[in-house]
Order: sequence, then C-alpha cells, then structure tokens
Amino acid sequence: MRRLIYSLALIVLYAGCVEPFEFSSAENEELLVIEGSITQSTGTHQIMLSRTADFGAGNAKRIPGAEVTIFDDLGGSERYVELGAGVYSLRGENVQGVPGRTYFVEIRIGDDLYRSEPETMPLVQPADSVYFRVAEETEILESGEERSDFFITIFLDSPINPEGTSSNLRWQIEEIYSFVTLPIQPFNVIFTCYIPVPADPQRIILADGEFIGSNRVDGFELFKRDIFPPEQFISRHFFNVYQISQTDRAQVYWEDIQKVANQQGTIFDPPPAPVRGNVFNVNNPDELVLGYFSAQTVDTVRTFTTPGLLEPFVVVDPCDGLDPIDLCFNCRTPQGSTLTRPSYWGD
Amino acid sequence: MSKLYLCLICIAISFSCLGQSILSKKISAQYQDRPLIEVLDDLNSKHRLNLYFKREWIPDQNVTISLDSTSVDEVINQALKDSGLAYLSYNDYAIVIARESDLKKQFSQDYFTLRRTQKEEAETVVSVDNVVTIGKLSNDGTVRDATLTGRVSVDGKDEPLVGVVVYIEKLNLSTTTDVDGNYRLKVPAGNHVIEARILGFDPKTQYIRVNGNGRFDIAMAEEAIELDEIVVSGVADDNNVSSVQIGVERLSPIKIKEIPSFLGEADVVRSILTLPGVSTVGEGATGFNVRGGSIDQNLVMQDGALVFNSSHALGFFSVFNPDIIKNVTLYKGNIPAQYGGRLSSVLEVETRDGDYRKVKGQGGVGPVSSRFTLEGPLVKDKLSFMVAGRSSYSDWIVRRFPDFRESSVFFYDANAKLSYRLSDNASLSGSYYRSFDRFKFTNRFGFSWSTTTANASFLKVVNPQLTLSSLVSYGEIDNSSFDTESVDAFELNNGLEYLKFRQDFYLSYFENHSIIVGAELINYEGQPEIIRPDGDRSSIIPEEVSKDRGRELAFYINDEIEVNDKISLSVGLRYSRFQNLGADEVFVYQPGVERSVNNIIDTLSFSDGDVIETFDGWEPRVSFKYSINSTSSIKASYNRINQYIHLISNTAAAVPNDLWQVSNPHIPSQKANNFSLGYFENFKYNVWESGVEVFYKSIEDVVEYRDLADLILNPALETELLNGTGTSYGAELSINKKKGKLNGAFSYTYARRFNQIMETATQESINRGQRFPANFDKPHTVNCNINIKLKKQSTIAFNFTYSTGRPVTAPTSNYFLGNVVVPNFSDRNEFRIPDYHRLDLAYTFSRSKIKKQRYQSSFTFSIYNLYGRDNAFSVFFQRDIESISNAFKLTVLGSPFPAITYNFSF
Repeated sequence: MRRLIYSLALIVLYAGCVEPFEFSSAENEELLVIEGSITQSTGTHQIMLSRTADFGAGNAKRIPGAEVTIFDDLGGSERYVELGAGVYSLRGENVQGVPGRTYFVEIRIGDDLYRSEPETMPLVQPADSVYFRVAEETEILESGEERSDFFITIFLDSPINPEGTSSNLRWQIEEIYSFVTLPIQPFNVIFTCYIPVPADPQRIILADGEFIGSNRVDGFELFKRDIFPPEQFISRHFFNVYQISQTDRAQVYWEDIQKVANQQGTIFDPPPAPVRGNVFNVNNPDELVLGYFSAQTVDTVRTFTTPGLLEPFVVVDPCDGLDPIDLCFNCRTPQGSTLTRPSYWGD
Repeated sequence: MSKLYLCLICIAISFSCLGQSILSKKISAQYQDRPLIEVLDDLNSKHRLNLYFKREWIPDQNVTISLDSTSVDEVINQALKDSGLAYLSYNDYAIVIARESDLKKQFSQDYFTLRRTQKEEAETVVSVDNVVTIGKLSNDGTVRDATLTGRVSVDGKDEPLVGVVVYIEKLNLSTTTDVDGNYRLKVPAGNHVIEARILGFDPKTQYIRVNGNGRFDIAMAEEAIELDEIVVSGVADDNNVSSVQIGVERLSPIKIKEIPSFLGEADVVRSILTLPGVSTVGEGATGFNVRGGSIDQNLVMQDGALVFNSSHALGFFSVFNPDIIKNVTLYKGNIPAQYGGRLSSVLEVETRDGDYRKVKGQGGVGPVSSRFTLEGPLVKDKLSFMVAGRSSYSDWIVRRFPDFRESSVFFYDANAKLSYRLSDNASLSGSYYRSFDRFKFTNRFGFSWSTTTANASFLKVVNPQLTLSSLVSYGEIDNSSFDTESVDAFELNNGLEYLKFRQDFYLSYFENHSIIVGAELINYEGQPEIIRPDGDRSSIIPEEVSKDRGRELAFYINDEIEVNDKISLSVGLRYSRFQNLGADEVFVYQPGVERSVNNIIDTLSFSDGDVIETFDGWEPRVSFKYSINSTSSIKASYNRINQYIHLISNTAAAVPNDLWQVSNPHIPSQKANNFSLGYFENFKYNVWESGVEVFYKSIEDVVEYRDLADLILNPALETELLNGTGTSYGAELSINKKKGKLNGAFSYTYARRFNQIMETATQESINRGQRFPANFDKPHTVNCNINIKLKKQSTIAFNFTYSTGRPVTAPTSNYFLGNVVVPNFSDRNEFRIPDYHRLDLAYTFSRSKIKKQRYQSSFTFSIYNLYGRDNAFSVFFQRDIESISNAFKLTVLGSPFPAITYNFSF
C-alpha cells in the first residue's frame, strides 16, 4: 500500500520544481553499525562493524581492532577473528549455529562494550521450489505509442508454518550467469566465466500479512526483471534464492529497514525514523546503535534459464556479429567474475 | 450630506439596536467638566443608548452632569443644553442627535412640503409601474379606511431595509420601516401614489388602488454610489471589543472575494488562512491548523452538517461555494457550550436562503473551474429555492501536458436548498450537498473522495422570549484509492456515515441574559476498509477490515450575561458522552508488555448495539469581558473540550484516503483545556481594530504514531498508535482597518505545538520521551492584506504571508546492510524546511451598480506568488545511481501564477 503514497509524492514531484537541498545543521554523529548473523549452515559466519557515513556519501567507515565474542545458551563462547576492513569471522570451533539455541554477541571497541539482545535460532523452513515465467508486456506510452518488453518473473512454492517454524521469512536473491568468450589468440583458448549480477541494492523481500495463518504459498512472486542485456542470458543464468527464517524481532527490524530505505520523506510520507536494532551499549543504553545481529536459518533453492527456456524471447549472441562486446574477449572484467564453476552449476 | 449620514445611521441603527423604550430607561451620569463628545461616547458605551450623531456637529464645549437614576431623556437634555443640538428617538430604540435646525427641517410637519418643493425643483424622474390594486372591495361597495402593510427590502437581495420613509404625500401620511423592514400605514380607500425613500437607494414610486386591507411590498434598487459606505451587518462595529467572546473571527462573502486567491478562485479556507492563529503545513495540503491544533481538531460545519474533508484537489481549493455563503465564523478561543467534539476550533459556514421575490443568478468563470447559482421563489415570499454548482475543467488543462495525458484533477460540488416561511415566526429549510474529487495520475493510480450531506432544519420564534431551532443532518464520506499497476493492482475504499440530531432553545426570559439550551446526538458508522484486486492478474487478496461505530450525545447550556456596563460573562456547561458500539471484535493484549499483534491473548466479541466502551466528561466553558472604556476591553476564557473521533494520519499532510476513527477501548478520547487572554482596543470610531491575545492549550491522550507505523488495512490499528500529551501556546497580534479607501489587516502569530510520548509498559516512546514539535508546529506567521479602492469600479488588493518552515525529520547519515544503503534519520521533527513567504495581488474591475442594470459583472485579474518565491513544499530524499540518498527541495508553486476570473450576477 505504501506505493500509493509514494506515487502521490511522485505526481507532486512531476508537477513541481526540484532542486538539491542541504540541511545545514544535519551532522553525522558516526554511529556504530553492526551487521552479522549466525546460521545453521556450516562454514564461517561474519560480522561487519562500521560507522555511519555522511549523508550522501557512499563509503562506510569500517572499524578495525574490535573484540567480538559470541555466546550461546549452553555457556559456550568463541571469539571472532578479524579478517580486516572491519570484517570479523567466526570459525565455529566452540559455537555452532543450532536451531532452538540462543545466541548473543559482545563487541568491545575501545572502552565501550556493546551487546546484542539474545536471539533464539528458529527452525529451518525449507522451500519446495522456485521457477520462472517469461512474458511479453506491452506498455502504452503517454505519446500513444506501444512498447513491448520481455520480462522474467521468479516464483516460489513453499510450505508455510510447518510445525514449530516461524512465518517470519526474508528472501535474498543472487543471480549468476556464465559467459563463454570467443577463442582467445594465440592459443585459441576459450574461457568460461561465472559472473554475479549486481542485485538491486534496495531489494528487500519479506513475507507480509498474507503469509500469516497460511499453510503454504504457491506462485509467490519474488521479483521480476527484464531480459536484458543479452550477454547475461546467452548461456545458463542461475537464480539462487535464500529463504531466511528469522525471529519476530528481526522481521520487524527488516520491515522497518524496508520502509526507511525506500522512503522519500515527502509531505505525504509518514515521518521517517532511525531504525534501532538489537545491539546496545552496555554502559549507555541511550546510545543509538544501528544494525542487527541475528540468529537465523537459511534454505537455498535455485532455478536457471537457458536461451531455449526463454522462448519466445530470442537471445541475440553479443559475440556474433561485426561488433562483439568487450566481454567476448575478456570475461574477467566484471566485478566478482570467476573462472571457478560453482558446485551446483551442473554440466 | 447630512441626510446621507442620517439615512446611513438609520440603517446601522436598525441592525444594531435591540433595546426598548430607550428614553425612559433610568441611568446614572456623573461628568465633571468633560468634553461633550466624550460624554456622548461614554453614555453610548456604558448604557448602550445607540446614540447616533455626526462628530463634526458636536461643538467643542465641556459639560457637567450629576444625575442618579434619571431617565435618558433628561440626561441627554442636560448634556445637549446650549449646544445647538437636539435629538429624537428613533423607533424607540435609538437616539439621533443632530443640529436643532436640521432636525426641524427634516422631521417637522413641513418636511413633506419641503420634499415636494425639492422634488419639483430637481425634476426627479421616478419610476412609475402599473397600478397595483390592494385589498378587496367590500360587499356593499362602500369606501372605507384600510390598513396597508408591507416590507421594504433591497432589490434582488431579500435584505430588509430599515428606516425607509414610506409616505403618501397628498395625504401627509408617513411612516418608517422597522428593524425587519416592515411598515404599516392607515390609508383611506382610493387611488394614491405611495413613495419610499432612503438615501443610497433610488426612490420608489407606485400608483396604488386601495380597496381594503392589504399588503404592498417594496423592493428598492441601490443607487450608483459606493455601496461599501453602507454597512449592513448583524454584528456591531465594535464587536471585537464589546462582545464577550474571545478569539472569534468572522468573514463575509465580500471579504472572502476580496482576498487575492490562487488562480482567482475565491476560497473560504484560503481566506481563513489569512487570519491570525490559522496556518497550514504547506501549499496543497488538506485542511488548516488553528492555534497549534491538528486538522481533525477543527469542527467544520456547513449549515450544521459536519464536513470531514474541506478540500478539493488535495487542498488547493476548499469545498465551499463562495456564491452561496452568508457568513463564515471561526471560533478559535472561547468555544461556546453549544459546540463541541473538536479540541481546537469551530468553523461554521452558513449558506443563505434563495431569494423569495425574484429569480436571480450569479456565477463566475475562472481558469480552473466555473460556478453558477440560480435562486428564486417557488411561492413568492413563502418558498424559495437555490441550486448552485461548481465544476473544474482542470482535466483539460492537465492533459495539455504530454506527461499527463491520461491524468485527471477533477472536482465538483453542488448545493441545493429549499427554504419555506411557514409564518412570520417560523421557517423550514432543507438542503443537500455533494462534493466529489478525482485525482488520477496517468492510468496508473489515483484517488477519489466525496462528501454527501442532507439537512433539514426548523426555526420557530415561539414568543419574544423563546426561539427553538431543530436540525437533522445526514452525511457520508467515501474515499477510494486505486493502483492499476502490475501484480499489486488494487482498489481500496473506506468511509464514514453519520446521522445528527440537534435541538436548541434560545431563551431571553431574564433581563441581560441570553441563554441557549440544547442537546445533540451524533451517530457515527465507520465504513469497512476494503481492498479488492484490480483485474485478473492482480495478486491482491480481497480483504475487509471493519471499522468502529459510536454514538456521541451532548447536553449543553450557555448563558451570555451582561453583569453591568463593564462586565459581561459567557458561562456554559456541556456534558458529552460517547459510546463505542458493537458489533465488533476487540483484541485483548497481554498486560504489561508492548502492544503488538504478537501479544494478542484474546478476542472479545460484541453483538450489534452492545456498548463496548463509554467515555464522558463535563466541559465547562467560561468567557469574561471587562470594558476598560468604550473603546477597549480585556477578555479571558477557559474551555474544556472532549474529542471522540480522530483522523488517523501520520503523514505531514493528510491524504484523501486517511481514516476517521472513533474512540474505542484502545483509543481513548482526547481532552483539551484551552485558556485565552486578550486585550482589544479600537480607534477612530471603530475604523481601526486592534487586539493582542495569548493562548495556552494542554491536550491529554493526544494520538501519535509509532515510528514507521502501518495504518492502512490494519485490523490491530491500536498497535501503531501511541498516547501522549500535547501542549500548544502562543500569542496573536492583529490590527485591522475596516473602512476607507485603503483598508486591510495585519496579523502576527506566534504559535507552538509540542507532543510528548513517554515510554510505558504498553508502548514505546518517541524521541526518548522528550517533547517534540508536531508536524504543523510553525512558530512565526505574519499575514498582511491591503485593499485599495482606486475608483468606484476598481479595487486592488495585496496579500502577503510569511511563516516559519514546518518541522521535518531529516537524514543525517547513511549506512550499509549488505548491499542495502540505509539512510539514518534524526529525531522526529528535529529540523525544519525553509521559511515560507509569498505576495499575491488581485485587481478587480466591476461595472457600477446601477438600478436599471440588472446584469452585473466584474473581472478579477490576480497573480499568486507575485515575486515567484520558490517556497519549499517539502524536502525529500532520492537515491542516485549508486543508491546513495540525497536531499532535494520541492517547490510546487514556485513561480507567479496569473489568472483572470469573470464574475456575473443578474
């Protein structure tokens, strides 16, 4: 429903005159931001510590040299190892993520001690499957012309609220496509890269009210995107969906983050507000600490496309023609591109 | 000139004086060597003698009077001794003082002889219509005396004319019309020429044939003179000083049309915004804020019907048609006990009756909308009708812009009224009103909202001491919003219905007491909030959230008491009782923990009509006036008011689909204590008015909202609401010049409004429990409007306004959660958008009001925001391609907006 309000704001924006504006007295206090989780999956779990950046600035200030320790309800504890750049890693030697157990972290930065409110890890809520559909959509422009585009929509089928689990679900979606270069001279070598697609940074997908009281959800639309550019779809393109089961408190937190991250602050918006997480300064509870440390469980489901599966959309080979794109000669340039084939990729 | 003056004062007299047997009234007068003019002024103000005189006639001489409990007759005789002045009693309720010689000339037995001579000399051309036959011949055909009665009114306006001399020259018979414009003459049967004269109006002459008793009404046309010199008003000139009420503002339709307005559309709410103590959160914002009150704390009524949304086009225009308005009254200080249910103010818009004598029309064509009103008699002097409509054609304008071809900004409103005079002492009227708005952006989304009301009212003067007034009113509001886009396409509806009964008794059994006693019952029926999918592809699941019902009952009594010449009191008491009614289901929350959907431990079911919760309260209303002298007074008031219905809106400006929610077990009534204190002084014989008022208001159980609250389709709405306290205080300074070629008003308002939401066991705090400014807290407001009459037909008007920028919650930093860039915001309303100021201009050119010219017209050329100030409508935040938020200022009307409006009447 919020979109209605955003839309109302939009019409006013269209009609009015917009110019940059600076709040002269709005100063950044450089608040502590904590982001991290422990899950049931094996492997390392990370916490990132940073401070708020000036409004409008793009870089977070990472916090090195902190002491980060996790505690569980069995009396176990383990200190995180600093990887650098404000990132701290838990090896899981003494403390592992187990559904039903309760966890909290303590963070010492200089003389300040911060602690997260304890979180009890919910049970894993496995998803059945994800799948996609391709559809052509025609839009009538204001000029009266018609424009058609092909879109791919990702859907989810999943049981909801199996006994003992929570309906507090959040989804993260990762896209990776493979790309094969033209033969590279002088050895006529062909490289296959596995390239992540930068996700929409503001994409936060949460289960909303329709999930409450339901047994399962079928055909839940997770997200939609256009089939462009063609190089992303000329070969296999994976959609990895991480279904995260989280606590009530974490669900509320992410709902609030979703609102704040998308809010515009117009006259038709509710007043925005700082989103307080579950971490506090032990000696100064009034200090506003941002971010969240959660105990959550994750289940992963995947689907992938190939040019044949996208029909009737026809994928044009970007390397076939007089003016092949740069990627056809070097596929390692995009950020995160790797030659290592992910284990789930298949043949 | 002296006759002009006398006639003008006759008009003024007739509307302002109500006393009886004035010359025999016993008064005390003690003056020691005081200037005569001061003595007369003092007598006027102390004893309300309604003395009328021209100041230049009063000689510069001192008088000494020492009389106790003596008749007015004697006191005035002594005062005027040796002054060359004389007086006469006018209809026994006013005293006209003039030069002795003038009085003799004008009102002696020679008067009509003199008039005839003057008439012959001037060869005045008078209108002579066909012969009118009055009365029936007696059966035997004999000729006898007859009584001729009638009413003299302003041609085309149905306004009574008072003090008109009605005479038959050849018989030397004359009389004058009374306060209702009525006259009575005893004439012999036969053919006569009856004439009526009063200055400012063309004389009227009519041949009549009198056969027997009968009625002859006279309509007099205004002369081609500056009519503004004649002020016909039911309110005394010095009302701001002499009235016991504090914080009352009145606007006439003329005044509303004088104020320069946006796109030339005369507008009630925009006119209200020029008054001290009234503000808005921004251009295009719905409603208005009075003395630090929220928009739902204003009781807005049109002829007693409740108006819940006073705005068209998201707030650029208001829903009241200016052509049918009789009076607009805003109570913002003392709210008499007959009003209640809203904490901050009462805006009462009265519409006039249709004309009882002839069919008339008026209207206007503006750049955004056109309006037309038709009125007239269905049964002459008995039953009148009035229909009025306004409709915008802004759709057409909006669609000229390529980006808005499928968009729509459309509104209309329609009024219909039937008024029936049952007798001289009773009247009945019925009215219907509907307004509709549609606001659509391309084909993708939009709003529509409408208001419908129907009224029936009855007024009966039982006897001079008792008048009763009854009202039945039904109203409904329907709001709809829709979004046709993609998988979320939906249509969302909500609304409210009410039925209101009101019975008032006006009592004047006791000298110096004006009492009103009454009762009011309002039944509110919240309409369910319903969402439906729009189209087959929509993934929206139909949902319905029921809304509460309630019944508000109030009994009240208010007495305005003139204790003595200096002290007046208005004392009132209102008892209000509100019941939240079933059928409904009420959630029970776990005690001692924060209220949330996760803490619902039970649901209580109530059947239809069950009382779920009751709120009540006594509401004392007291206002006090002390007259320091005839031109200045001090006033103070205290009010307690309860409010049982609330607009659920947590945006800075209300949106059209905001909900009206009645109190229930989780949403208590709001209660306010209002205090006002003021000093008022007039100068130059009430031409200049000035006033200083301070006010303080404390509010209990003010409704606030959780951070980032979700209010739409929320069955557990109370989990998003917080209770706290509110405080508003401030001061107003106003200076008005009411008359003259240059007139206008200046006001400065300092008004603050803070809310405080403390953390309790069941709710979180806002801003750590510290008080914070409300969304509409705007400390400084300056308004100045000036009207200059350039010549008879043209007026130029300026309006300047300045106000502090409204509070806003601003982002102070960014942070990252994975890929998500999250702006971090300040405390609620910690910052402000830039200050607002604007100058408007309007130039009106009208044709002279000449009697024979039935069709009248005028052009108004206006420029809104003359110097193109790019005022901030809001400050918002938008992400760039790297998803970093930046702040931008939005100006809606950032350049001059010229407009031409054509108005006409016939």
